[in-house]
Amino acid sequence: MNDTNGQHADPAPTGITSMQSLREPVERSLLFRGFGPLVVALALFALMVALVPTVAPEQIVERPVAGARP
Amino acid sequence: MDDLLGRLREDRKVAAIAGLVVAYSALYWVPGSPLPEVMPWGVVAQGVIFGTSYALMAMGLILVYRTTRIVNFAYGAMGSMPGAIAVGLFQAQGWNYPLSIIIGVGVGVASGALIDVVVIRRFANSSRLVLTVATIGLAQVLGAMALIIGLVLGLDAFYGNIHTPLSFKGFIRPYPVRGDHLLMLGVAPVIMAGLGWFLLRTSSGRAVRAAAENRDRALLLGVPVQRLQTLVWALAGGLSTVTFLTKVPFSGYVPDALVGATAILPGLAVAVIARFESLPAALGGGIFLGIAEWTIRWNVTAESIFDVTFLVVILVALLVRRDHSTRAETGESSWDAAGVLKGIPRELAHLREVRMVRRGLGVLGVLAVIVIPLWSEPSTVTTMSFAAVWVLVGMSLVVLTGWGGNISLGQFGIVGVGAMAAGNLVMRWNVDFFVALAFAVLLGGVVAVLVGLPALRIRGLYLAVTTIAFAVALDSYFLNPVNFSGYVPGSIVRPVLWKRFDMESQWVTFYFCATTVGVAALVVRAVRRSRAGRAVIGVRDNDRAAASMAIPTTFVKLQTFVLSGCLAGLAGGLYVLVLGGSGQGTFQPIMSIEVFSFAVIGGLGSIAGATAGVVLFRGLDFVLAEYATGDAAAILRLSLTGSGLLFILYFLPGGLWQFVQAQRDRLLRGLAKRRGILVPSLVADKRADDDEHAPQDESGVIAGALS
Repeated sequence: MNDTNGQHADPAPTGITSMQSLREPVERSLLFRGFGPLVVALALFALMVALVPTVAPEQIVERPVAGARP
Repeated sequence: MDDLLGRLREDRKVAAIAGLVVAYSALYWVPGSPLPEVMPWGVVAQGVIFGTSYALMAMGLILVYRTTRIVNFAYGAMGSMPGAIAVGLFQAQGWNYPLSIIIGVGVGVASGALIDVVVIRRFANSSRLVLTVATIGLAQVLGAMALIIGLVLGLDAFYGNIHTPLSFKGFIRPYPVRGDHLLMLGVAPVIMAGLGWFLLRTSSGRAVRAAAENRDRALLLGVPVQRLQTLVWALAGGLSTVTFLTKVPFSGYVPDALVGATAILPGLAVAVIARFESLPAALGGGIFLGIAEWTIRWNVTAESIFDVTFLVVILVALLVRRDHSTRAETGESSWDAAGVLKGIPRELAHLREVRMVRRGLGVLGVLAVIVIPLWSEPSTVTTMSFAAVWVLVGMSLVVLTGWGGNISLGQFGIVGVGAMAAGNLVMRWNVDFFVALAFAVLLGGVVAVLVGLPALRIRGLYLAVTTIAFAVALDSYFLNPVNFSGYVPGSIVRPVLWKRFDMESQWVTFYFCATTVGVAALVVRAVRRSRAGRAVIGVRDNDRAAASMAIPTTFVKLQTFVLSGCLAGLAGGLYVLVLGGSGQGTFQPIMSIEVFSFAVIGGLGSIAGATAGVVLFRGLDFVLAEYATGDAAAILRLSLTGSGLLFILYFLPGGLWQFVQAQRDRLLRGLAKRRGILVPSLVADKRADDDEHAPQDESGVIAGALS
């Protein structure tokens, strides 16, 4: 088999080559594929909303009914 | 189906006929369509007449665009300033009508030429983004001048019914037709024919088109580009004045800063329809838009619905447009390289002195934010809370313009959406305020996609056009209590933070706003340092190179605007909290232009610069409010922001922060010299004449460092 320069090319490499090692999936130790901090932040946000809500104080509004007798 | 679409794209006549059929069908099915038996001819006639006025406005915008490839946001003010002279002379001083008109148009032509010589030529070597921003500053300066002229000539605001000597009176049911209507109707075709003749038949016109296509080549061929540019700006000044004077008998005269940029909205819509190219298309588009506007006015009772029409027309016109960018239209987005602000060089950042000063300044800043409000009046603290919200809007502009190289002139429109969302959630359902804020952020991002996508998929600074249209529509239509009585959060009860800190207290509200701004700044800084941030800068500086590196440029631009929109939405949520409600007039379009100007003056290259600009001008506002009111205050504000913007763009493109950084670098150079540390980046930035003893080349630097 000749390459483009007309010289004899090296035989195809066998076994684990550097390219194959790059193609192999890398073992990642990331929580939720890197979205861990986001998940934790969302969980904390949900906890904050549930435990210490930031809401307006309830107000009781008394209004006379239209047409009601005094 | 594909064949038909392909033919429509290829053959303009077929496309025009198809468009007419679609328009006719659409009008037929509209209740009370403009067909004569359903809608009176008078309504169509009014549409045609006022449509020609829009066409005139668009022609001036197109003329300038074809010469300098920028959208001239000062175009409205270029007419209103000389127009104020003409109307003042005729209306307030009792001068002869034709003489006043001639003087007005003459001043318009002269001021157009002067603007080119004094302002536009100074920016000949700047990017088109910088020149576009310069026209925004120019609009404010001209707006201030119009106010001064009005005061000098004793011209008060009036709304319509100016009585000109054009005495013709007619009637097309249901509206009267006066001589002023006929003047307006007749002027547009004459001017279009004149401009067409000038551009197509005269050697000057051909030279103008050549210079617009390739300025350098035209210069090499001996075309007097500068002189021709002056001629075009003079023509644009005269044209804008004519447009103003033909409209003023109907619209009246309101000395208003809004004339600067938002009053040209219909003209912008028509110019977008005409692709900023074709004058006949501008005439056709203007008449189409005029008829559409009057059809809607006749059929729909909602207030200011036509502002929404302009927005929809602009968005649709941009959506159906394909990106046919010419060579002349590339490279418009780079923010001036001189304006790029750099951090402390790595060689010096780790030094003890540098770290101590940085930490010291940081602690001082935080202490100032904590302590100053404690010694302030409640009203001052509220002003500080508003300033914090404005800082957040300024930050959103750093992301969009400083990094992304795009302009939004309607950022307060998105702030308004955020305010509506958060306000409604709190007012109606007493939702947790943090959830309401999150929803405001989300909605800000969604609006950014809707308004941004049509503009960002093609080259050119069209985002400025869509955003300004959105800001006008939001303020006049969507926040109008007449149209949406139940959905405008007029007043809300402020929540209690974490069941403990009542936000009815101005101090709690301020600290909450300041903390939110601080967190947002950290997030923005983190984004800038990430791969996404680097991609944004890459797309801004050279989108073709970025695209060749497999970066999806349109997507990145949209991402940038979405992040900017999210920040603006967050600002809206805070705004409704500080103000305790919102409504029509809370988010005026002029505010978007103001915050943009403040941020540019401070320095759009960095968060600190934009923050400094916004805080400085909000502080100035606070001080000015003590000493000036009414027209005087408006004149002062417009003059300061407008001239400040022009000054900064010319002398310090990086804003005031660039000056601060220059002083910082001077100190760092001294430190490096004392410590004998080689810092190439600091030496490279230094002017040779700054220091006579400075090493002249790298070997000198190394020798100095080793000695």
